Amino acid sequence: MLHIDDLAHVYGKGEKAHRAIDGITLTVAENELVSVVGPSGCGKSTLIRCIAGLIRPTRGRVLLGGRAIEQTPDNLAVVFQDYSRSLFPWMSVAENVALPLRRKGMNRAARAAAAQEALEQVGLADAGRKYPWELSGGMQQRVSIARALAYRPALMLMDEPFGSVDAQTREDLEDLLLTVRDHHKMTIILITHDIDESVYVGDRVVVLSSAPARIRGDLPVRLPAPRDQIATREQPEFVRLRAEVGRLVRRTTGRPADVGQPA
Amino acid sequence: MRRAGARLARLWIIPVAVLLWEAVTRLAQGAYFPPPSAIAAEMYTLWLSGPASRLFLTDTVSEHVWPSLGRLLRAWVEAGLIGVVLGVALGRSARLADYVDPLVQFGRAIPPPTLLPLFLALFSIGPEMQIATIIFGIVWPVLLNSIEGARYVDRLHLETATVFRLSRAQRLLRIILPEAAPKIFAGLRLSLSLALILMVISEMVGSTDGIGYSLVLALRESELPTMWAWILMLGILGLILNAILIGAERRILAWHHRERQAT
Repeated sequence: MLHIDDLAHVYGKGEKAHRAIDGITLTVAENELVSVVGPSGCGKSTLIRCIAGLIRPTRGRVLLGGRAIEQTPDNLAVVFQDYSRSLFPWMSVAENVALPLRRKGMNRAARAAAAQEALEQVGLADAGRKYPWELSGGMQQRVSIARALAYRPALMLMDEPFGSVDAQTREDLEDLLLTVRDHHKMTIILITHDIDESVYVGDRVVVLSSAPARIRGDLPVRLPAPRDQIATREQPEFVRLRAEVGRLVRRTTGRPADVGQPA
Repeated sequence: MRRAGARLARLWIIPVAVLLWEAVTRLAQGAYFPPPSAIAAEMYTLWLSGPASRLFLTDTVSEHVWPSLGRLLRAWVEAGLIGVVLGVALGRSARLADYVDPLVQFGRAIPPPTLLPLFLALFSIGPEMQIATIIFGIVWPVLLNSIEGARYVDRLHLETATVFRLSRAQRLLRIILPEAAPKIFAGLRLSLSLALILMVISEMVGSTDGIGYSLVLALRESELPTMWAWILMLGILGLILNAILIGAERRILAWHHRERQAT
């Protein structure tokens, strides 16, 4: 479905050049949920931006459904970490969700219906007429997930989507992600720096090294569905995977990873 | 609500000031300073002693006040359109804006009344010359604020627009203009108060009607109460115009004010 081939990106030139990612090759299957975990500042966001077509990689290419990505493809959506800057404060929640749908050739009524349906799926059925800044952080991130869902992408990229909310909200949003993923057929790449989260939501965990990011590990997650915040996390396989991912992350940074205590 | 109440409570200063003014002018008996009661009587005969069928407005109002207001509003609207269209175009092109900036700063530095002789020669006495003067004087705040507003649109807002493949028109009308709107409105308010000043000045020099013309005529004929009546009229007009614009801004930018309170 998605094929990343020897992707590299360098910011700037000469002595000030910063190699963010270097030689990443990765294949993601249809309907797979891949967690990409790595230390802070390792170039995870650069990877997302290259896949989304927001920046042109210095080397390598990204193929989506066999076609090279030159600019943002129309079957791709992104959920950014900074929901408050990604939603538009001058539009109501429903308008925010419906805004991208005009391009899809939907009329006004169809757009409103699709927005309402997506909001219901994220548990915000009554929030359509509110403004984003009237909602809590967790609810705002639900709105941007709803915006991505209504868009019906084949590939959803999530750039540390739960990095700015409190722990309880974070667990709720992780479970929300797993639920909507069962309803929609789509491929998801979730970037995170939280090792527990990467194992909990992923079908597969890809570990990146610190900058320039290279792939350090690629582990399948064989945990049964549906996942449960308590039961899944106490399974021996979960504990084993979390430790393994933690060791890989630690090896890349030379610092102790936060194994055992969720970040 | 409490703040509005406190504001009303402070209004006692106005009758006190008027009474003081009355007392001082009566005691001093200066020819150039008629008491406010005389000015009020003059205001009444000048503008409000007309027939009931015309809401008691006199011929003076239709011959001098309406033409002034018409020119003021026409010039303000035209300057606003020029300023916003040019400003947003310049603001979205950083390189162009950097080139044009010295020219804009220079144009703004020229005191607009100094161009009156030029516009007099170009258009001869009449509304065109007055409107040209006003536009030249008031276009700068709108232009500069529009450049500023369009230039510093949040990068994540634009990236979101790119990811969801918004059309150029949507990008401009739904993202850039709303985001620049608070700055644009600040420019429009500054322009409106400047427009009032330039309207009077241009009418003093090159006009056969209007408030500025009437003011100079009254002084020439030593009709001091009449002259004072026109001066007060300008103050009242300024207050009313500003209040209308603030009301419109509160409505259009409700999201902006409430968002700032919420965060």
